Parts: sequence; C-alpha cells; structure tokens
Amino acid sequence: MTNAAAATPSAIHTIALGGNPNCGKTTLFNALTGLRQKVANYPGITVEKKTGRCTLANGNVIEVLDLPGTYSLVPNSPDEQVAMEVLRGLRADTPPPDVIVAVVDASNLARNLLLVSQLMELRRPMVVALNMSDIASRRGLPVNAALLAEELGMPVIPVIGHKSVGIPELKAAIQQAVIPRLPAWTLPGALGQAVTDLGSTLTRMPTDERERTARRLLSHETAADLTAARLDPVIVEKISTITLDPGAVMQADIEARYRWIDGVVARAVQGSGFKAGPNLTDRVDAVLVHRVFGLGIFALIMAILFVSIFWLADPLMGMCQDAVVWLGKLITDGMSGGMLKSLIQDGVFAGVGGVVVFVPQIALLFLFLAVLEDSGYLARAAFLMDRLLAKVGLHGRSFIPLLSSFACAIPGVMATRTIENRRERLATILVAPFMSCSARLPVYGLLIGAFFGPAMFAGGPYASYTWLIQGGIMLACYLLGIVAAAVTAYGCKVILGRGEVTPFILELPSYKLPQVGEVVRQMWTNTAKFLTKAGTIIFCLSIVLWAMAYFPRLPSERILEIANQHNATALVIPVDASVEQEEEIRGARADDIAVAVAGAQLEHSISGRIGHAIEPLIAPLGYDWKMGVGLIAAFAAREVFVGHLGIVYSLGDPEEDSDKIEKLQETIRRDTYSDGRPVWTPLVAVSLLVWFVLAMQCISTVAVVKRETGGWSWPLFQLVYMNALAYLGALATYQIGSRLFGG
Amino acid sequence: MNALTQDLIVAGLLLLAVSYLAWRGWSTLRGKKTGCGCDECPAVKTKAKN
Repeated sequence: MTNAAAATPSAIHTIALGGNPNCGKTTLFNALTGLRQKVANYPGITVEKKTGRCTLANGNVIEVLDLPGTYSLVPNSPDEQVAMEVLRGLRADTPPPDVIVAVVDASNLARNLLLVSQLMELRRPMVVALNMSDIASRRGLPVNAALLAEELGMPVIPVIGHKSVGIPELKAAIQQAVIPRLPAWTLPGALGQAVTDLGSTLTRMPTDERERTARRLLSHETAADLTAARLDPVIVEKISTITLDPGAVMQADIEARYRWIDGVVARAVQGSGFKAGPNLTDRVDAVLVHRVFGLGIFALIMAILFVSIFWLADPLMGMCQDAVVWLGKLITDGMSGGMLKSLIQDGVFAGVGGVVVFVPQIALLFLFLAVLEDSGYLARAAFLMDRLLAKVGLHGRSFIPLLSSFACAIPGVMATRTIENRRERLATILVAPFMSCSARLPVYGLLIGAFFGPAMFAGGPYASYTWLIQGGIMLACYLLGIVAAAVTAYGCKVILGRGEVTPFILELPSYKLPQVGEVVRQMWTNTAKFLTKAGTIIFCLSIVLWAMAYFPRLPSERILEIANQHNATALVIPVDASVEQEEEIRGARADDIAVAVAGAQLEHSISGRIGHAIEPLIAPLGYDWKMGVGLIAAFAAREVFVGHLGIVYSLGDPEEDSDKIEKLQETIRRDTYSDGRPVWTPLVAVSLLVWFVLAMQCISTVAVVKRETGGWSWPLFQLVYMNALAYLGALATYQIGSRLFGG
Repeated sequence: MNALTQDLIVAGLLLLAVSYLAWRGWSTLRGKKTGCGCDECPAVKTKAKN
C-alpha cells in the first residue's frame, strides 16, 4: 500500500473526466464548464476529447478535458485510444492531467470500478464523481459515498450532472484530490510468479511500478509508454522464456481486480440488492426489443415521425413564409427598381427566404430525434438493427454513426471511431452520406409539396390523405438512402471481405423521461446550425447565383425585337369594351412581353449558357437547364437547389410575391418548354428526389472522410461512386417511369 | 439612389460573397472548418470557448 498524496491546488491546470461510456461524463463536463456539448442517452456520443474551462472555488481557472468513454485502459477502438492516451499523458497535443475525475455510474458500480482500478495505478491525484446515485437507490443499491471513499482512498462526491447537484462539492474536492492508495491484488499461481519474475528485470523502473508494468507487458499491451521496455533486449529475452497466453494474463488480471471490486462493492453498497422481478425498463424492453414487434414498432415510429413533419410543420411554415415576405417588402418597398432591388428581392429573399421557410420541418425532425435519443430508445433501435446490419457487413455500432448522419454526415463519419474493426468502420464511412441529412430536407419539401401536396389532390378522392402521401414519400426517400447504403455495404463486404467479426456489445441505458431543456437545446443547436448556414454560405451563394442569372444583360435591340414580335400580333379589343377592360387587355399584353423578355434574359445569362451546355447530359434524366444549374450549385450546399429555383423563377416572373414558396411551387408546375410540354412533372420530381438521395454533394463530408481514412483515395472513390449511382438511379427512374406512365 | 451607386454596392456585395465562398471552400478542404456553415459541430470541434 502507498500512502495517499494530495495535489497542490495552485498546481492544478488540467483535469480529465474519465469513465465508462454513457456514465454521464459530458453532462458533468457541461455542468462544470457551462458549455453545451451534445449529450444523449446512449453510449458513443463523445469520440474526441473536448476542452472547456472551469473556475474552482479558490479562483483558479482550470482546463477540463471530456474524454470518450472506455471500459478499460486497453483500447479497442480509435475513440478509446484517445481516452487512454490522454489519461496516461501520452499525447503531444494535450498536457497530462493534473487530476483525474473518474465519473462512475452508481447504478453499475462494479463494472465502473474496473476502469477506476486501472486509473488508480496511473499515480495521479484522483476524485470520484458518483453519478446516477438516484437510479442506484431506486434499484435498491444505494451507494454510501463515505464508505466508498474510505475503500478507494480518495474523495467520492455524489453528483447529478443534469441538475448540477454536487458540482460545488466536486470542485472543492478537485482542489484536494489525492493520489489514491494502490489496490492490492495478486495473480494466481504461475501467472503471479511470471509477473514477479519479469518485474524483477525492470530495474530501471521505480519499485512500485514494476509489477504493474510486467502485467501489461505480459498482456501484450502496445501503449507508447511501454515502448522502451518492449525494446529492451534483456526484457525481450525474459518475455520469450515465459510461455503464457497474453489473453489469459489479461483475463486473470481482470478477474483479480473483480475480486477486489466485489469486496469494495459489498462494503460500500448498503441496499438489499436488486429488487426481485423485472423493472419498468425490462418490461418495456420485452416489447420494444422484441425480434418481430420491435422492428414493427420502430417502423411505425419512423412513419409517424415523417408524417408529423409535414402535418405539424405546415402552419409554422406558413408563418415563416409570411415573415420572410413581410421583411422583403419592408426592405424593398421604398426602393426604386433597378439592379440592387433585384439583387435583394430576386436574389437574397428568393434564394435565402426559399430555404429558411423549411426551418420548422428541420426543427421538428431534430425535436423528434432528440426525444428518441434522450429517452434511451435509440440504443434499443441500434440493438434491433444489429442483426440486419450484420447481414450487409456492418456492425451494430454502425447504427449510431448512421443515425447521426440523418442530421449531418460529418458527425456521423466522426462517430465511426467507436467501431473496432477497420473494414466495418470503412464501410460505415462509405455509406454514411447515403443517410438523408437535414440539407436535403428543403429539396424534398419543395418537390414533395409541389407535386404531391394539397394542390395536386384538391377535390380528388385522395385529398384527405395528403399528409399521409407526403409523409410516405418523404419516408421513401429516407428508405431509399438506407437501401443504397445496405447494398453498398454488402458490396464492400464481398469485395473487401468481412475480416474478423467483432461481437456487438451494447449497454442498454435505462429509459427516462426526456429532459425538456436538453431536447429543446438539441433542437435549437441543430436548427441554429441550419440558420447559420442560410445566413452565410447560402446567402453568399444566392448573391453569386443571382449574378449568374442576371448578367450579361440582354441587348436593348433584342428586347425591342421581342416586344415587336408580340406587338406584331393585333391587339383585339372589343368595340363595346369598357375603359377598365381595355386597360386590362393592354396590361396583359405588357405582362406577356415582360415575361418573354425575362425568359430571354435568363437564357442569355451565364446560368442559361452553362445550363444549356450541360443540358444534353441531364436531359435523359428529365431535367431542363434550370435544374441542371441548380444541381451544380447544390454541390456547394444542397439547399441551394431550392434557392436557385427561387432566383431563376423570380427573375423570370415579374409578378409580386414571387418569393413565396407556394408561388414557386405553382410556377414550376406551370413551366413549359417552347413546344408546350410541361418542364416539371411528378416523374421529374421523383427523378430529382432519387438524385438528391443518392448524390454526394458535400465538400465538408469529403474533407472529413479524407481526414478519417488518412488519404484522398476513399473520399474520391466515394464521390465518384455515389454520383454515378445517383445519375444511373435518376436515369432509370425517369426512363422506366416515362415508358410506364408516359412522362 | 442613382444607378452608379447601385452598381457599386452590387459589385461590392458580389466581391465579398465570392471571397467568402472561396475562403470557406479552402478552409474546409484544409480541415480548418466544418464547411457546413457552422464552426460548432460537436463532433469536429474539440476546443470550446467559455
């Protein structure tokens, strides 16, 4: 046993929060730092270390490191590697922590103490933050913090992270953190002897570190702090004489620790043990993770989610749209006509405004996802999906990254760090962008609203089922992405091989009522990201796209020519027409000329020229040049497709209120080719939906995939593969559809 | 507002928009920004300000 040594409060600059997955580290991090990092009721949310600042009671400002969860200091995946390296002080970019705060889930005390036992061997000042003690008490396993502190030889502070209970006490304890006593356990028989023998050769190490290092060397740990010992010829020779299975050494080490842990738990936990019979979580799980009912309920929940997005968002979108139109009028009403007014009205308001009206749909999507996350249901969904994912060569752990990709593929790709098997991780990275991210939602909303909305079914037998139809098509878009991901993953399995199959072990968290504050915060964070994007990238792109559709200006001779062509047709005004009727007829002629000039101007513009140049490539997909330019612009941000249509149809339509999304939907339905054929049909809309589901149009994702795979080969392959698939998918949809349904 | 002033404002806005997009694209490819219009992506950003 080693005597406890206290940390000097003034010498504390950095503390690290270490603990098992889903034990509440990030909630505690947020409570300590006042930050708003994402938390959820399932493991694997934090995949990279996060840094914040916290002021201790003595006024010292310290750095707080939130680390990915890990069950032990022997990492199995890239995220656990990060945690291990920071805790051992092996990372060049992060100072070794002066104090380790071991976050412990009191409701799973024994399992959490395994990591604590390893952290105690790092010989750094420590504090235990005992989280979820309320749940432990409800389960009949109340933990006596004082007794646990006595057993561990360090302060143990009960906390409830999301209520900030115990935070001042934890801060005070951090100032008085001590290096805990070394737990005493021995390995049995030959293993113990081998450790003692090897330890005796580690003469360059302090005496109290020799046995620990010997155990790690015999377990074939590969951490960087063992490199010197592993290269020492004397030690190498000694190890070669020990014929022990490294797995058996590790297993014996864990068993010895658990014998010690069992004693600690027996003394510190004072309850009567688990209450007999299944608890509420078990009873709910009997249905929700049932092999058949579970999948049915999951499908039902997803269907309700997508139908609700249309049904609930509609009135909010109307209000949003009115606000955009009102603001547009407020700014442009006093302005004389001209280039600047056109930029603001036809560029900024038609472009950005067209995207912003979809905010209610996006907010609702994130609200539902946050409720599912916080309740603990999503961990069950991952469990349900494991069997299906395994069939296509993915892992149960792939579910959370894929689910994150429904918001944005970037955190989804990052979240693959929790996957141990490299091939499974690579396959998950390759298929993550198939999940329909929030940037696709405005495109889906515009097209589904225009061609499968109330206007299309008004007065018909399906008028009452519009929300159902729209929700069904939206769900189909998401499902198409999932099917494409499954097929691609299966292809990866066939081509790359599966490699060693790793079992899926997922700790199912307890169900809990979602915290309103957390749910609203998640919804707002994601909605704010969307609004930020609208205010920066989409705003700038709208200006550029407006300029491309506005310049070069049509020569005045051409305008005159168009006017003359219209005026060449005799204006028929009945002899008995009133003055008002005559004015109306003359006004209609003037409108016709204005629309014709605007159309010619668009064709003459940079956009028009680019669009016509690529038209042969996209015509087989059913697209005209305006859609083609929109598809190119969407490579900068997918939502810009909606903004681009808003701009070109607004410039091509001299009427007021052309920046309204309903007006845009009506205009595109009415748009015709010169021979009178409609440009937009439901089939064209479906072809576009297929394109947007399957295409890779996000340079941010390309950059993140490059970083996560360590080179350009995979992101470039992904870019080419997904866009080729999108082209072929849209082509097949339009060509087969037009033969079956006649376009 | 006369036509020249309008032209100058439009040209200025256009220049700013193009510059911003170029900077954003370059930063994204270099891995300095998430590129999705948001610096706060919880999965990418590791250093938070208080």
